[in-house]
Amino acid sequence: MAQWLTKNLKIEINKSISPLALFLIKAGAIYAFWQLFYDLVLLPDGRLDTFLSLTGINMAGGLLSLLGWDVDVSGRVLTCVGHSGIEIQNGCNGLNLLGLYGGFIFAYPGDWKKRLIFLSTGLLVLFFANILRIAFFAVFNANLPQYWDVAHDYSSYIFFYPIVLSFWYLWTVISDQKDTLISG
Amino acid sequence: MDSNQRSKRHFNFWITVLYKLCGFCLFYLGLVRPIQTIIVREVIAPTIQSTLPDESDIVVLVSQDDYWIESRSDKFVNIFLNLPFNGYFWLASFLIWNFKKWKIFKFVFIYNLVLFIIHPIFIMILFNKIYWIAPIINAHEMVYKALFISMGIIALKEGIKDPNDIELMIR
Repeated sequence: MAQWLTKNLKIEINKSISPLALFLIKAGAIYAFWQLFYDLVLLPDGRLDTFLSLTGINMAGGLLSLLGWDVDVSGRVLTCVGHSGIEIQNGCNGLNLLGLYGGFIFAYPGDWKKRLIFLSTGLLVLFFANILRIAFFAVFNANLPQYWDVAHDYSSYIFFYPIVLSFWYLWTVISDQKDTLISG
Repeated sequence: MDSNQRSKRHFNFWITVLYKLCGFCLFYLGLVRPIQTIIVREVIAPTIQSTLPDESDIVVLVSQDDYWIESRSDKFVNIFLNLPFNGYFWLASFLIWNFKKWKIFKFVFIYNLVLFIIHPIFIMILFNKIYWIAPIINAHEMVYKALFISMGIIALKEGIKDPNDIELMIR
């Protein structure tokens, strides 16, 4: 009985709300939950932030070493030897962006198996993009420290947003959602 | 239309989108953002700070077009805010406008106007020592910005599905 009621309630809700409104409600709830969870749990706890910052710094250091740069990694600080270093603080490690990316993938209709594959692929790509970004910061700061602010302010537009938006778009195509969400 | 023509149209469509996107980036990064940076630095931050007593624990800081409100003694989480009609509005509008999704454009536009009321209310509540509002303010920022660009992406996807729009885009 309860199952029957839930099923019918779901059908009624889906009928009365437009697909776009349903998507916006779902996405809004996911994003609100994520931000509250981040501010109230993850940020005070700090472990995930610290893990992402330290892993990012270490892997960026490894990447630069591989490319022939003489680098020094100390905690959250990555230095090209002979120059000033860069420090990755909590809040600058891309964690919030991972939430931004994931929210859309969760909320947009589609097959769950495909969704999970797409979600993990995207998160992994963003994680590696962040490593590239950290490496770029270290090299940039060593060569053009006077333009550091510009590089820092605009780096998201180069390393993160194109990836997030492309993956979102790809997901709308791959999820094979036939319904039109927006009318003209 | 054969598959060759279709892929040519598709290619032309994406070239046009990329071309327009570059124009948008120049417009936003070269004009809108610098103006908003000046407004935030010269008007918004000093005005908000001036409403606080000198010995206040709260401080307003600025970085480019972002401003954030923080408590020196960590009474609440840092709050990051942008002016209404910020980059998220412009990116969403660019996509929605291009694909003529007027209803959704109206919604995004009106919500940005409403932000002129919502933000001061939030800040006033916070300054009245109701600190639990801080995570809610951050959640609201996250939600509306993410939803704007989500709507832009959906408009892009559905614009491509509409053959009339493709016709218009490749002319």
